[in-house]
Parts: sequence; structure tokens; C-alpha cells
Amino acid sequence: MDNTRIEELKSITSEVRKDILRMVGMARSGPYETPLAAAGLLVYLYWEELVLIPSEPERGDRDRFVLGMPEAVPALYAALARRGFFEREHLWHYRRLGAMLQAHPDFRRIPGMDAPCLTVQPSLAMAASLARELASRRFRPRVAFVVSDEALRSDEFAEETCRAAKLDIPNLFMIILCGGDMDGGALPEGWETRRAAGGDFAALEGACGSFDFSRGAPKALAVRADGGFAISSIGAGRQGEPHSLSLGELDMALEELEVRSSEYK
Amino acid sequence: MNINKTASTFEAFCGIIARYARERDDFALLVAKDVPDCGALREIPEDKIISSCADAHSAILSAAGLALAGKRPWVLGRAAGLLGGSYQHIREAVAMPSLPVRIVAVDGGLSLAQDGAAGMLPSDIALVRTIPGMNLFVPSDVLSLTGIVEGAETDGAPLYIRLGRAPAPEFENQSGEIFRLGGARILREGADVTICACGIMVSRALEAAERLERQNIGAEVIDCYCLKPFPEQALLSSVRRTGCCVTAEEHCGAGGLFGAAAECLGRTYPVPLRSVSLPDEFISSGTPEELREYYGLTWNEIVDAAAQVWALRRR
Repeated sequence: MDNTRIEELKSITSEVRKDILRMVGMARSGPYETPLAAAGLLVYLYWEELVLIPSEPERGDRDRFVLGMPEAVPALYAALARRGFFEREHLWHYRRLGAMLQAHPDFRRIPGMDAPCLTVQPSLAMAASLARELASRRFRPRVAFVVSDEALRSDEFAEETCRAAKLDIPNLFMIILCGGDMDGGALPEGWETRRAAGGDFAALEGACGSFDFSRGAPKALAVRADGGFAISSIGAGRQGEPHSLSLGELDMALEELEVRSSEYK
Repeated sequence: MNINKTASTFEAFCGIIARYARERDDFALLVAKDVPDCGALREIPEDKIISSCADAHSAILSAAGLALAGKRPWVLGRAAGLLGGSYQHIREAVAMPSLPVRIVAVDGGLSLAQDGAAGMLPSDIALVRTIPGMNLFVPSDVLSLTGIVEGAETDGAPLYIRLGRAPAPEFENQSGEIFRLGGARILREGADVTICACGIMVSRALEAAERLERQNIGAEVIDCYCLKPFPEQALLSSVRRTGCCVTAEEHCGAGGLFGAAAECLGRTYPVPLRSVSLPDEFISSGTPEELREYYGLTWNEIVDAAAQVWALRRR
């Protein structure tokens, strides 16, 4: 990946983050911290890694994407819109009555969504089962499954990672978004594992490129959430408690992102 | 109505599903770890049966994944674990995305009565009825079960079927009934009282109708094998003639067949209505037959209830 492409991806990430803030701000509710943290990873996946054609979202040979983090849904919506699966206009109706982009995704209504986003664990069971079934098909599409490192701490999830390892599902690609320091214990045994930083597109490319998805064990990539984008104007004085964005906070946050993104243009 | 022979709906299901496994490419069966053994399941080709699921909820989520890949999976488990332990998984991974996952629960009602209250889930019907988009069947015999499974193979809706392990009588299909979503079958015609029953209570209802006949009360017996969508027209057309109704089910009184009938009649055509069902309490342990006797799931309770509503009906 050359520097020009890296700058392009950074610019796209910045635009996706602005869209996340706009949609959550206009809805006056919804998570934004995790979506902002996941934006870089989703941009890398949707622009560089996954095999898909936005104008043909139902092609049988496309790679599948399964989001196992309901709190990151706005990032997925913003990435899908920016990638061309549907008009960005839909983003401004996020969480509204009758809108396509509901708080909990109705995956059958949203072009580009391949699976429901579950709040229940172990959602890996669904992704693994889908991948195993697709592994027998001619083009062997991959299933990229993004999950938070919080999920890995549950016994049910650990059991499911062991089961997936035993089943040898080479096209299953679990991406663990780590909020903290990517401790070694978070990565499951029996999987081919790599690590990368979420904002480092070259590192992501290197890690993904080192996997052979046609054979071997399932793959796991631990990605450190990109914290470099933290927006100082949000939540000042609120001690980090979850809250909806006020219009004032939204304006300041967008301005801050605007200033930062000017360096990519 | 002739009663030919008896067979457990669970064993019958295993036989039917083994046949479909051989015939259909998109077939998959996921078996939770606590399912009773059945010889017919061993005939299913290895690539079409998955029995290594750690828990019922993993089986549900795996089935959802297979459905996303284009399969039409069945999940077989015990009611308490499959529904009680995986309610949210069914709601989110099957019903909300409306995936063609067919959930089949064995040991519903009082079948596992000897294991005590924690091992039983007599309110499974009520739980499923409250999930939007889920269809719900309680077959009373092998014939209705076969019809329901055939229908499910052609329909893409998520559904729940409750099976029993006790031998159930097989009723003749005199009218060439086609079993379908929202359907019910009239097993005996009568003009004085309507008895709606499901599952194992259908044979008790028929026995009660015989006893009522001796008292010159003609009872119409309806096998409500489909509880959701509820066969409202079948019930309404019967009570418009009889003017009263009794429901009989191996289920708690709230949210099951009685609940469905009461909602329908209360909204459209209020008539005297009585329920023969389990009480609102955690069920004691004992053999299933002992408990059916103890909690009044018998033909003479149905007779008593029918005589009461018949006396109360508007003339």
C-alpha cells in the first residue's frame, strides 16, 4: 500500500467519522465513541480487504461481514453509505420511525448488511456456522466477524472459539477490536493470530495479507482501537458518562475533525 | 372418530426428518446435547446433522448462520433449555431477521415431570406466542405432525413445534385435511359445546365428548394444532353454533391455547369460556400420568367444564 492510498483511506475515515457524529447528533441518541474507534478498521475492510461490489450486494461470491458489536452499528451504517451501498441521505434518519437505519439493524432492509447484529453471545457461533457452510462453495467467500475484546472474556465465547478451532474453518476471519492494550490472553488458542493497530492501514494490510484463507485454522486479528482521533470537545465536564450529543458539542466536534482532516487533503 | 394406533410424536418426527435429510440438499439438523436418543436420527447423513453444539443457544445461533448461507435448518432440543435458556437468542437471531429456522422442542409440558420444576417448561407456548413473526404448532398425532413438517419444508417462516414423548393416538384424516399455518381440524362435530384442544389433550377431549354425548350434550372437538397464527375462523364458526367453549392443554393457564381463544372470543364473539390447564405454580415432581391426574388434565375435568359453560350459554 503506497502513501497516497494510505492518505486516501485516512481521508475516507475522517469523512466516515464526521458522518457518524452527524447521524448520532441529529438522532440525539446513539453510541458514538465505539463507532468512532471502529471507523478506521471498517474503512480498511470495506475499501481494501473485503471482496464485494456495492451495486451487487447480494452476489453469492462476495465476502460476508458480520458485526458482533451492536455498539458499533453507526460506524457500519456510515461506512456502507460512504462505500455506495445506499444513499447517505438515509444516515440523517437514523433511529427515526420507519427509517431504514434503525437503532438495531433490520439486516434484510439494508443493502450491504449480510447478517443480523446480535446483542447475545456467543454470536461467533452464527459467523462460524455461516463460514463453514460457505467454505464448501466454489469461490469460498470469507466471513469477517468483528467483535469487541469484552466478548472474549465470556466462557460461552471461549467455548465457541475452541469449537471453531476444532472445526478448521479457514475462511473465518475474526477481528477483535481491543479497547486497551491488546493483552495476549485475548487471542484464542487454535487460531492463526496476528495483531495490528486500527489506524495503521499498512499494518492492517500486512497482517491480513499474511493469512492464507484457503486452508488451515480460522484466523484472528487483534486490532487496537485507534484512539488518536479522540475528540476533546465532546463530553467536556461530563466525566465520560454516556450522553447524547448536544448541537453545540456536535458543531465543535465536527469542526475539530474538519481541522484534523485538512491534513489529508 | 377412529383411533387406529399410538405413536410418540418425537419418534415420528425423527423418522420424518431422517427422510427429508436424504431427499433435500438444503437440509441441516442441529441437535442440542441433551436430546433423547432415537434410532432414526442415526440414519441421517453425517454432513447434514450437527450434534456437537455445546448448548441450546449455540445450536440456535449456528442454525441462524446456516440459514444465512441458504440452508433451511432444524434445531432439536429439550423445551426447557431450547426455549427457556435461549429465548433471547431465538428472538434476535431467528425471529427478528425472520430466518427459516425450525425449532423443535421435545419434552414440553409434563414429559419430564420426574426431574422437577426446573427441568420442565410448561409455559413454552406462551413464550413463543409473544415473539413476533414466530409460528407455533402443537401436533396431537403423527398425521398432523407429518402435515406440519411438510408445510414447514415449503414455507420460509421461522417456527416452533412442541413434541411429546408419550405415545399419542393417531386420528383418521377423514376429510383429507391439509395441515397449514393458521389451520385447525374438526375431529368431531357437535352443536352444544365447542372443545378446543392441542397436543396430548386432544384424545382426552374426544373421550370427554363421548361422555357428554351420553348426557345428550353434543360436543364439537377441534384440534388446534396451530396456535400461531391462531385459527380464529374455525373457532368462531364453531362457537357461533354452540355458544360456549372449553379449552384443554398441557400448559399453564396463561398465554397458551386458553389465552389465544380468550383473546379471539373476547374481541369478536364473547361466550362462556372455561380452561382445563395447569395451575399458575411451579409443578411438583412425579410421573407425567400422576401429574396429569393431580392437576386435572383429564377427560372428566373437560366434561365438568363443558357442562358448566353449556349451562351458562346464552339461549
